Amino acid sequence: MDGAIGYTPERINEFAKEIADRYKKLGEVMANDWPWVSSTLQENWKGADEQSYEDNLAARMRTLYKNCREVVTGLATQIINVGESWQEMQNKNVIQNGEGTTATKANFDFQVPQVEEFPIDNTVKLAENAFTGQALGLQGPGSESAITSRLDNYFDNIKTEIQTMMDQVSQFQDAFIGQAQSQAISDYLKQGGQLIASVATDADDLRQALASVTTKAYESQESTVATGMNQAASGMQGTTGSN
Amino acid sequence: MKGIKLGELEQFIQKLKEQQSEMSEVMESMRQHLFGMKDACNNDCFDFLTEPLSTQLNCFGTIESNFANEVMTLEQVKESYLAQDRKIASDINVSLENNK
Repeated sequence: MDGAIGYTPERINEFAKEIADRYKKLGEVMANDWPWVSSTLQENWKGADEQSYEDNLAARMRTLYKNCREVVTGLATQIINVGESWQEMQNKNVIQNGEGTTATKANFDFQVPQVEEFPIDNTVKLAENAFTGQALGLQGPGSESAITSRLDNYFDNIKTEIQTMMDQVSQFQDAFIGQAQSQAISDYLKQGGQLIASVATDADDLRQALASVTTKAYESQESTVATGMNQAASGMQGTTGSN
Repeated sequence: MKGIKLGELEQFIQKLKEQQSEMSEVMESMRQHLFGMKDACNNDCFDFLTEPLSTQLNCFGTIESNFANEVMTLEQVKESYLAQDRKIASDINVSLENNK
């Protein structure tokens, strides 16, 4: 549509719906796969340190999810605002008694995604003495690989969802048409995609850091494990942000 | 899409302007003719023509004015869309800078 200036309400609504749906899907992947992570950890690693590790991991995942929400909400709100700005402009410029010039108010039915508490709260809260009589620490030769493999799988699924969200965002630049605005909006969505990508990078960093600490854990006394885990989680607050 | 096709609007405005110009020439010719008629009406024999001729002159004036208004309005519509295009770009760029 060369030389056109305007906007496409349908595409704006599609964008808002798509990004909200993708965000919801990300939460579902995080939550649905979590019980497997939790049970794998608990089956292969007994003790209070495991609980501490699990708690830290869950907290970091919640933070990652909230960070992603900030990006998604910011993008969606900005795009809706631009659409509303167009409507306002059109309604102010209606030609009195003109034909075909009345701006019909489009229905932007987008709801900014709500803060959903990421439901990974099934960490078993056992007292230290609950393990009385049991062998603490790793439960067997295959425990390390079982945990590592499960964590890799968990983060891969999350990263795939984030990557899909990032790819989707850039496909909606055609919601606005005009020489000046289309370039600016394209740049804006590109930056939004980069922000989402940075969340994916956070997931990557988290995986690498935890894998590294987990490996060390197997080589250490259990009493030193919690300290290492907590230090790793604290160190990551700088990259993923903390809420 | 809700908006304008700039190229088509500009062509339409240009066409209106050309028609406006042609119409002005015809109007001027008619106006001179009617003025001549009106002068002739000073002769008492043509008194009955004075009022309808005045009405005709007014009508021509209104048509010309409407034509000019139409062109002006469409120019304003075009400018308002161009301004909105620039405004959105500016707002988004500010937002981009703020997010860096």
